[in-house]
Amino acid sequence: MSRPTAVPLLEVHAVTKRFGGFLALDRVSLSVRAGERLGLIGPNGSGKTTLINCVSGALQTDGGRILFDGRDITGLPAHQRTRLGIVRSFQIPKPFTSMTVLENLGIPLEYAAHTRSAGAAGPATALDILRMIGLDAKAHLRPAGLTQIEMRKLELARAMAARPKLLISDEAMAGLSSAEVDDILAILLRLNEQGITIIMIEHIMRAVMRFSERVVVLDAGARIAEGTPGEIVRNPAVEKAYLGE
Amino acid sequence: MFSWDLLANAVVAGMLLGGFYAAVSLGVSLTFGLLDIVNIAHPAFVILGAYAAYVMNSSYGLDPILTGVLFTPVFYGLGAGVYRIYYASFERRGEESLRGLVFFFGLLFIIEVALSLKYGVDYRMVDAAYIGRSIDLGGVGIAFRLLVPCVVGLLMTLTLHLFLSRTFYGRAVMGVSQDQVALRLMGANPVRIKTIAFGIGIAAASLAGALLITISPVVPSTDRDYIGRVFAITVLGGLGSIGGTLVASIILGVAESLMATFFGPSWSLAVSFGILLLALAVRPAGLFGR
Amino acid sequence: MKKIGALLVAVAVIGLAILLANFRVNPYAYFAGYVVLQYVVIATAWNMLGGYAGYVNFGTPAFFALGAYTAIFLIEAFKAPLPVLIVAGGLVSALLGLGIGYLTLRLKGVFFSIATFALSVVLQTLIINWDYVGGAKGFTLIRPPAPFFGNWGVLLFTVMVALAVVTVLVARSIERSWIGRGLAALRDNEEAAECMGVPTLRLKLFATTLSGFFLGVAGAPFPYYVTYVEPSSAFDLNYAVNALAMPMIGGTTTWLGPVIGAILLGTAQQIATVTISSELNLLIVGVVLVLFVVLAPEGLTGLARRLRGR
Repeated sequence: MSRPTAVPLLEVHAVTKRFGGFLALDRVSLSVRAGERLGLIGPNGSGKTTLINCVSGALQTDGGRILFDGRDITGLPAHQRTRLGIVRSFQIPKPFTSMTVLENLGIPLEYAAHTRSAGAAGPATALDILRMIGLDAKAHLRPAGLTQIEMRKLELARAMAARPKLLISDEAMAGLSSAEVDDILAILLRLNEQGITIIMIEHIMRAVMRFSERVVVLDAGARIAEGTPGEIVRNPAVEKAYLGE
Repeated sequence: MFSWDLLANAVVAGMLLGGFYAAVSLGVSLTFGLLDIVNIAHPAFVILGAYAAYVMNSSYGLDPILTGVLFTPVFYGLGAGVYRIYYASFERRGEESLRGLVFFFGLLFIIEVALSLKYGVDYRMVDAAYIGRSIDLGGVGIAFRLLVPCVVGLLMTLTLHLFLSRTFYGRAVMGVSQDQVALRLMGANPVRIKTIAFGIGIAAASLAGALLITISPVVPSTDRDYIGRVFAITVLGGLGSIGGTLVASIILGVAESLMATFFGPSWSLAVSFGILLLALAVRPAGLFGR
Repeated sequence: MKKIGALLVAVAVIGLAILLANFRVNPYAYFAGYVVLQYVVIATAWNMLGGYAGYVNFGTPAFFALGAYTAIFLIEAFKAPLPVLIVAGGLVSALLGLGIGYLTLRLKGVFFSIATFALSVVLQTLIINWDYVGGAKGFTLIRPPAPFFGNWGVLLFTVMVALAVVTVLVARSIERSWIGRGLAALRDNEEAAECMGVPTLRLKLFATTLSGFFLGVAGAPFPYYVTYVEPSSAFDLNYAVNALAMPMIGGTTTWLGPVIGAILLGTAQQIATVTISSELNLLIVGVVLVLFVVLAPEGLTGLARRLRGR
């Protein structure tokens, strides 16, 4: 289900980011169509998370522009970008530790998805999300009582509660077992079927390749390759970036 | 009332003061800059060192700086102990910020009040051969009670710099803030490294305290004057940069000295606050920050 | 439903206080009661920022004293009545909170805390040098006859009851509102909260301003209470430590915590000051604070919750 418009949902134009003397992103450009499943890969330190931080607003860029839904969001603070529909999950889960799982979802529901009153619409919708993701049994537990994969699911559930148009999943599967990886993958695919555009950052190659329609490869802060999973796998530049020479 | 003589004296005094301020701030530069621990109680440990020097001086006639040096192992142990409690209570649970700050504030408070209970609120001072003497260099008077602490402060800065850059443990300390995994792979235990670093920071406070009481008399509440100064210096100099700490200390020393000379001493405290706010607003990473 | 219940309780408490005033209980009780209630306001106000948002204010004396000295200024300049003093004291301290917040809240929370500490020292220096409000020599207030109850001790006590009730009500309603939930989220994990749509900077500024307001409110009646104000008493370090210790002991996540902490610790200190030296008293507070922070960080209300099995 893709939109018949020509304007991409997300456009990243020549974004640059420096940390002191270190150039983390060097005029990186990227565009994502609405409804697309994009994989973002690259060796450690290539700038993937930095790019995501720039897109989500956690970091300010040192150059370039970012457009979302045709609108320039380059100067907007992160919480406003979330309200526009850009939602990211964190590599290391950052749950709200003093709240229950259900209350964790209440925050994005209230603040990002514009359902202000915690009345009937609120908790019911949150429970639906938890049911879909398989966490409803733990709705009234604190995050401290969750397992590793349940924390990852909570991270995703919370992102879903923010009603994303674009969901950026940052290494949601790191350290999970094969079955757990499939579990998360199924959830992400289902979300995409509902119309959510997804950017997946992952090191687990089989997951990325199975999931993505298109893959972008970063290395040392620059985009070095782009194409379908099949093309990327056969690309010698990508192989060199990962394995060295 | 302006005169070049006055200006020159103020600047020189300020620079000497800066050397001393560096001694006071080194410990915080280490713990805040490299370990990310906000030990707001550091000035209280400095005062503790000052009182140790006072007691040794008044009871046994011991030179204050000698006392400062002798007490470093004691203060090192104290620092190591404090860090262990901090680690067990907060760092391990990942709840550093709010509670850790309150913990150190409580320590500051306890030390200050305990000192005033034991020694009262009268000003305490020490007697040493070099206090009261000064030399004259071309119209500028250099008081020994400022010169000696400044020199010691510079030596401390140099020693710490060498330790951090040349020794195994020193480099481990520099690394512990950045990559704990790599540190473990190197065979160093991050907790042990942090304990050592924190211990060193407090040991530095011992010596700094001895220098403090050499420069001027102290009361238990003197520590409060230094909280603003120490953090102003640490922020301005750049967290984790020893050289930056020295430069920032001298800048603060000169600024305070000028302020005191031309506007009166009661405003000198406002200088550190002003510098702190300015540094935070303009360049939070500091002059030499990472 | 719940809101009306709370309001009714509040009105009842104030009414009770006024009733009590007419019975002229031992006058010392009113003085002691004033101090304890003052701490209820201070602890609750501090907790709006410290407990709800997780930002530690070490400079409570600055805000409290600013309220007191704003009152002194208005008394000197306009002979302003008490209600005006209270509102003005609150507003000026609120501005201070907003200012410090604006300057430091974009950075790590630690810098806010350090700035608040340095703030106390600097503000005290400024006040010492300002002779209009008495400077280092202090300010003496000659009180006119008390407008109600004929007795200032009783009147001020009743006023402080009302202020405490209002402060607690405000804290409670914030805690239960969407603002309170947002503050809790940013306290738990600021980065995640921001990414979940919470406008963290705006909420932090709100909390700092509100906290500052009520700290100033606590300080505004001070000149009337002591009649002689000098900087060292208005900027007393006691306020700094108690503002931390009372919420820590009572529990920082709920409005009830600071109230319990203030009543317990405040009463204990009132009893202690007649038996032990004020310094020993302070030392004990410091030790209790550290013990609680290390061993029982969730305070008494947290322990109670745990016993109830939540």
